[in-house]
Amino acid sequence: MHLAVCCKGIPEEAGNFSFSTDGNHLSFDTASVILNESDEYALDEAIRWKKRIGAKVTALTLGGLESQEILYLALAKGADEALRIDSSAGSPWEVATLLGKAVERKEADLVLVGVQSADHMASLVGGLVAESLRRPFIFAVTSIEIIADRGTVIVQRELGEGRLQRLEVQLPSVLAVQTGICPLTYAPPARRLRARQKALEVLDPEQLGFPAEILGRYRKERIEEIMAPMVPQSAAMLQGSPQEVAAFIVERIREAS
Amino acid sequence: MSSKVLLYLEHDGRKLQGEMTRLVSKGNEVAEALGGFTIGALVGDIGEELLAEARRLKCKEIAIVSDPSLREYQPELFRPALESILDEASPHLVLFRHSYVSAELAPALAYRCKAPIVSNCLEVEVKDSRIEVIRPYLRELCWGRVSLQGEPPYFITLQRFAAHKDAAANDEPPRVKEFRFRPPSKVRIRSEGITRRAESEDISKAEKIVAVGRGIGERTNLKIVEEFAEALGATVACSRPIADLGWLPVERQVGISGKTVCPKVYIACGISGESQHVAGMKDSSLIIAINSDPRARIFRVAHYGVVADLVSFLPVLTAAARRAPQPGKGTESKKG
Ligand SMILES: Cc1cc2nc3c(=O)[nH]c(=O)nc-3n(C[C@H](O)[C@H](O)[C@H](O)COP(=O)(O)OP(=O)(O)OC[C@H]3O[C@@H](n4cnc5c(N)ncnc54)[C@H](O)[C@@H]3O)c2cc1C
Repeated sequence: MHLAVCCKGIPEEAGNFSFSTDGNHLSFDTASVILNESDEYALDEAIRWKKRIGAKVTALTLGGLESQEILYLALAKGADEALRIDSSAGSPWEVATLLGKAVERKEADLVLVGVQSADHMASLVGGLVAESLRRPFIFAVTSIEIIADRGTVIVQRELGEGRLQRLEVQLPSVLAVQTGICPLTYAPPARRLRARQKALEVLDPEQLGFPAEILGRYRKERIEEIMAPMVPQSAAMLQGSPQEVAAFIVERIREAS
Repeated sequence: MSSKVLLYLEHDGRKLQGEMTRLVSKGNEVAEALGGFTIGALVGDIGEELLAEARRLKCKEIAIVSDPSLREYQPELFRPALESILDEASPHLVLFRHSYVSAELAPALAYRCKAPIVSNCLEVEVKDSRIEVIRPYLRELCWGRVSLQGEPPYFITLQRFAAHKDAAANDEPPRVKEFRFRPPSKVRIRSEGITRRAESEDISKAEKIVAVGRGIGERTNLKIVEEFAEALGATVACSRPIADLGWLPVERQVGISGKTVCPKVYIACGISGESQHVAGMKDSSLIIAINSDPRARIFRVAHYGVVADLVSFLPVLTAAARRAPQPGKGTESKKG
C-alpha cells in the first residue's frame, strides 16, 4: 500500500503583511512557510496507516526551494520519501495537472490532500487531481479505514450541517482530508534536524512532461487585482480601560437578553 | 455562442438548499448580461414536493435527471447525471453554491470539459462578455479579482452568503425537461448511508453563547472562558479547531460543519471569523468579538469589538458580569 500526501507550504501570517500579484500568483512578503493545516492532518493520517499496516508514505509538494521545509517536516513526521515539483505554478488547474503526473509516476494507491489551502482557499486541487487520473474522489473525509485485501477504503465524510456519509471507495482513489481526522503529531527539533540529512527528489515540470509552453495551456484564470476586502468593519470598537469596556459589554448583554 | 447559465440545484433529497433562490437570482443577473437565460439542473430521486419547489424558481427551464438509484447523493452517479444535462444545454456558465457537493462535482466536470473553474467566489460579473469573479485569498485577508481565461463553459462556485438578493417570484413557471439517467459502466463508490451526528446537547437552543476559538492558545485557558460563560449563564461553544483538537466536543462547534445558531447574544473569543464559522452565527442578535488582532475578520460581522488579549481581558469581563444582576442567569446549561 502506497500513500501519497500532497503537502502545501503556505505563508505564515505574521506581522505587517502585504500581498501583490503578477496575474498568476499571489506574493506575500513573509519570512516563513508553514504546512497547510488540513494537509498536516492528511499527512499524520497517512503516517498512522504506515504504523498500522506498514504502508509506504510519500510526501509531495509543489513550489520553490523554500517549500522544501515542508518536506523535511514530512520526513521528520515519518514519511518515507519526499518529492518536490520545482514549479511556480499557482492556479489549481496547473498545480493539479503536475501533481497528478507525479502521483502517476509514484504509482500511489491512495492520494490524500487537505480540504483547503489557507492561501488559495479553493478546495479544487484534490478533485482535479482525481479526475486527471480518472480516480474516485471524496471531499471532507473525517475517518479512513483501509481494507487492503479488498483493495478499498471505507470513509466517513461530512456533508455539512452535521450530516455524515459512510462510503466504500475502491482503490486507487483520492481523498480530501478534513481537519481533526486524527491527533496531530509533533516532530521534535532533533528529528527535524536529522530529516534534513535525507535526500529529496526534485522534478521540474518538463521532467513530468509539461514544458512551460504546454503547461501554460492549463492556466485558465488570471488574478487581475488584489485588494483589501470591500466589507466595512461593522463593529463599533470599544476603547477605554478594561474595566470600563467590560462594564459596557455586560450592560449591552443585559439589555439584549 | 451559447449564453445559457446552468444552475446546479442542490437539495437534501426532500428540500432545496436554502440559498438556491439567491443562486437563481445571481444566475439571472449574469444570464441577462450575457443575453441568455437560466436552466436549473435537478439531479436525484425527485419527488413531487421537490419538483414543485424547483418549479417555483425563476428559471426559464428546469432540467431533471431522476432515478431511484439517485436517492442518496453519490458523486460517481450524480456527476454523469449532471453531465448529461450539461451536454445537452451546452451552457456558457455553470453555477454551483460552494459546498461539500460542489467540491466534488464541479472540478470533476470542469476537468472533463477542460474548462476554467474558480471556486469560493463572492461575486460574478460579466465584463464585455468576459467573466470575472471576486474571491477571497489568504484566510480572507484579501480579495482578488480574477478573470476566466479560455473557452466556455466556465465553472463557478459561489460562497453561501455572498451578497445576492433573493430572486423575485416567477411569473411564468419554467419548462420542465426530463433526461434519462445512464449509469456509469463501472461504479467504484458505494454509499453506506447518510446519518446525522449524534449529540447529547443542542447549542442552537441557547439564548447566550460564549464561543471560543484558537486564540485561547492553551487548553488550560478554557477554564477562563467557562468561568465567564457561567457568570453570564451562557452556553460555551467553539470554532472548528477547538473541536478538532478535542478540547471541546464536536457538538459545540458552530459553522457549516457544525451548528447554525442564532442566540440573543454571541460572544466570539479569539475567533478569526472565517466564512465557514460566520455562516453559522451571523444572524445572532448581538455579536461581540474579542480578538487581539485589530484586522480580524470577525469585526466585519460583530456589533461591538474589543482588541484585547483573552487571557487578561476575560477575567475582567467575568468579574463585571458577576457584579451585574443577570436576569437570565441560571436558566441555561452552564458548562462545557
Ligand atoms: C469544508 C470546511 C468546513 C469548515 N467548517 C467549519 C465550521 O463549521 N466551524 C468553524 O469554526 N470553522 C470551520 N472551518 C474552518 C475555518 O475555515 C477556519 O479555519 C476556522 O473557523 C478558524 O478557527 P479560529 O477562528 O478559532 O482560528 P484562527 O483562524 O486560527 O483564529 C484565531 C484568532 O484568535 C486571535 N487570537 C490569537 N491569540 C489571541 C489572544 N491571546 N487573545 C485574543 N485573540 C487572539 C487571532 O487574532 C485570530 O483571529 C471549515 C473549513 C473547511 C475547509
